[in-house]
Amino acid sequence: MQEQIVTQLRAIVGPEGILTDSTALLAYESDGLTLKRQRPELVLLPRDTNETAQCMRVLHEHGIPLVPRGAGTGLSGGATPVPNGVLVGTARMRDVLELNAEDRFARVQAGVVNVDLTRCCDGDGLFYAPDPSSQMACTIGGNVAENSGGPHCFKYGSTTRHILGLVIVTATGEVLHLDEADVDPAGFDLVGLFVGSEGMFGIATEITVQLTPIPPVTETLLAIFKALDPCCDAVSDLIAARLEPSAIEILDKLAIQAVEASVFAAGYPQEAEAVLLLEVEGRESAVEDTVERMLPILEAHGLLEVRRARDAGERRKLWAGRKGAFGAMGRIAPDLYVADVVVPRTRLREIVRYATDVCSERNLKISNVFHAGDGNIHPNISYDRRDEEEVARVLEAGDLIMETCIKYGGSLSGEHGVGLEKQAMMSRLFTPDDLSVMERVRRCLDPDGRLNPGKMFPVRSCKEVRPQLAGSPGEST
Amino acid sequence: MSALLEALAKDGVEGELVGNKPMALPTSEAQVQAVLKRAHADGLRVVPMGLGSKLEWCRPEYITSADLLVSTRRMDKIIDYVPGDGTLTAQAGCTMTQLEEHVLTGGHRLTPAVALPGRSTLGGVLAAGLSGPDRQKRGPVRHHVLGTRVVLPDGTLARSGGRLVKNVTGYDLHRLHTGSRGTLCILLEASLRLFPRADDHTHLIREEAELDGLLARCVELRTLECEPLAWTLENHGGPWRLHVALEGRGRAHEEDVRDVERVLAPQEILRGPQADEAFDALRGLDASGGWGEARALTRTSRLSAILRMLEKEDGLHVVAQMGIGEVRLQSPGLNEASTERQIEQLEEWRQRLTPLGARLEPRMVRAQTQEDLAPALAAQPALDWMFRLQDEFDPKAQFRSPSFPGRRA
Ligand SMILES: Cc1cc2nc3c(=O)[nH]c(=O)nc-3n(C[C@H](O)[C@H](O)[C@H](O)COP(=O)(O)OP(=O)(O)OC[C@H]3O[C@@H](n4cnc5c(N)ncnc54)[C@H](O)[C@@H]3O)c2cc1C
Repeated sequence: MQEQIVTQLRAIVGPEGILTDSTALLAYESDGLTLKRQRPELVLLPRDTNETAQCMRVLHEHGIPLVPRGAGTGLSGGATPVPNGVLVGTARMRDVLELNAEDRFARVQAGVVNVDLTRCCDGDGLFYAPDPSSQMACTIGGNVAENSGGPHCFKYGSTTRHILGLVIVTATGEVLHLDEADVDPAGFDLVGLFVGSEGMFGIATEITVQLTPIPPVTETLLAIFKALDPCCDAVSDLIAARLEPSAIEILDKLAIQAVEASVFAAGYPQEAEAVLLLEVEGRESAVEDTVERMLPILEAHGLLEVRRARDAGERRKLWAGRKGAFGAMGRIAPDLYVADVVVPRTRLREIVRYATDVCSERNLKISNVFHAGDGNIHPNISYDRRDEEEVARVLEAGDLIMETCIKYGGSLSGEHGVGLEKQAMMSRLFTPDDLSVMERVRRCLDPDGRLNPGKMFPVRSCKEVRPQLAGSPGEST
Repeated sequence: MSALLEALAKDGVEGELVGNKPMALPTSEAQVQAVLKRAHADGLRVVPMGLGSKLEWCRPEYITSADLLVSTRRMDKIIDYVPGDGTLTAQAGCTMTQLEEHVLTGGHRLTPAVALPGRSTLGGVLAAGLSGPDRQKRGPVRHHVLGTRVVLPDGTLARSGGRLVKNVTGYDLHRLHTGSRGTLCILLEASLRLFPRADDHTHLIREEAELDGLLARCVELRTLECEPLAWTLENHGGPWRLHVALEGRGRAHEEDVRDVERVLAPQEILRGPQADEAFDALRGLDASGGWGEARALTRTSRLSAILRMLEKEDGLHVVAQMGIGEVRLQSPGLNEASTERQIEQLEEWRQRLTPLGARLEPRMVRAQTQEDLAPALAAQPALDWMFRLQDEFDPKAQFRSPSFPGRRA
């Protein structure tokens, strides 16, 4: 990049807000989808909306593409840099700007870490409901861009239901205020449109979020099953019975073993083939009633045992195991491919069985940890990225699982987004017209296509591109 | 018969005249596409509609400026109800009553609980971005639209989202379509998240001549553990009435009722079918009864001050959703008043509400009133993006409204 541009940008963000050194840039080569890598030209870390807008104006002036980045925990390559592009990170935008306990909202900078938001309002009896398992690291800005979910989104819904307003810096450096915590949008629902747009419409710099009252009673149950299939069926039946726990999560045997061998050990029984982690919230009598109604359904599916967390400490431990599961899988192999697909909740058993069979046929290690209540499964395939042949098998299995989901009336992503990982599959789910309408929306908001280019939309004729997943913009290593 | 209807008939699309306006009544997606392709070629100004119950406030200009009305009322098939998944997919022309009755067979409820479900189509409700009193518990309808199929002004058919309760694949264009009042596309089909039907319902009402006592009770109601289905404060000329509708099951429901009873000291406690009737009556309050209406949108903490201000207005009817921050101001006769009088009234409300932190949205007033007030009421900073979207998808401005999504100041 021309030195004169770097100087201009440095003048805006100061020396702490710009990274140009190749060692420092190494950490930004990929997000959680480590298969795709690309070194950015430089990383900008503006401190606020104003600095972001100034940076964006400079980038616009010079026609430089850019990728917004939060904590880089994304799993679909959304924050993977693009060739000759800049990363604009929100890591120095970490302030809670306003907390309004009476009206139950907070206004935060985009780089605030998810869990810190809840920490800052729990003294007021409130919490921020979307709780991705990565919540110790991921940012609210990243959550907005991906419309992230989490275990408790079964009850509370994904990020989009909790966003009241946004301040957005556009590709040209204008600042768009959509930030009044209002009941309904004045005009079109641009906030709803922005959420889940994967960093392609602008950079969210300030976010107004809805906060939720902490429920009076929370009961966490660990239901232990002798097989994975009936455990899935139990979930379908819980949904069909219209019971309303707040979270329904499944871990299978390999996941349990990985967790138990890790620092996240939660006391899950290692001999179990599957466990169901259930949480029920509300007033005490409602919680008891729901639990009473759930038990016969679980029993009808071969429940071996149910354990109840006795106190907050035990509850935290059970959840730490679930939320640490992806990390724990580092024990199985150096790399992890976290698939993220959705099916109607009546098809849970079939898709989990299919994913397991596809992987075992290809001699791949699969573990399942997923948001069963939402039909959002994560077949996690452990592999070693240095083994090219194994990588090919992983990708093939991933594609087959996605295709089958589509066949079952499902979708490509429940929470991680499309990014680079699934762009080729988009044309299997959507017609050319569907995709072209989305692209036209994108062009309205970023006419030059400089914001996170090369993501989400299939490169035309992408079937040929897919096999070399490590192609542009990131490179395989 | 108008020449336009004759031409459409040649394409196999039936229609009729509403007053002197031709209204196309397509029965399939292909027919909607054919109608719009013709309209696009001829540059006709189109107003999409269902049964027309919301046109008066959503698109009041239809009377004067539309060349063609396109109603989806004959597209009324329920495509897929999956009780085991709690989702429903239906064509835009289904009435809300039809859908409510259908999903009840599988133990589900639909949101929003609108005022005139038999006269409201799914497409119309979504395009209007309507909510009902059940929004208190369920949230706005835009949160529960899982996907849509639409036809764009040039006849292109496009889909976004799907039929799944969780799905982030592609942009959420269905969020853009919901509440767009038919200014971007015609909704053909939508998928919705459903809610379990509760076993027990109770409706509690307290009536007082003065507002203050009820507002004090509202402060305390807000601290309770229960989540009411609806929580409405209304005045229709006589005393103020505070309603709390509860739904639930068994002991937990009884505890909710006891808590609310303690705080509210209600004069009426209605249960079972009587509670359902009372809730339906509450839904009915959302219909303005043909009066001039405006909505004030604000934060819940500002409601008390706003209601106290409105209490002093003579003859004004008020419906406030206390947990949401929405107040409807219904003024008998205002709908028939001259444009100047309407503007004067709305301007006066606006000037008194703005300092209290509320945004005003006119309804049930003349098209000209809406148009004249639009620059003052629009979200000006966001208009640029909205207009860009309209320019892209409706370059001939066939679907444009002079007042929505706003006008430049
Ligand atoms: C161990 C682990 C567990 C996970 N569990 C979950 C889970 O339970 N649920 C879930 O949904 N996800 C989960 N994820 C995925 C990931 O954490 C989420 O997608 C998260 O929202 C990403 O946030 P981030 O701050 O890391 O964003 P990044 O990864 O940095 O970026 C993600 C995307 O958002 C864009 N972006 C970031 N910030 C902004 C901004 N301010 N404005 C505009 N665009 C922006 C980026 O360009 C990119 O496209 C998990 C990931 C890991 C590693």
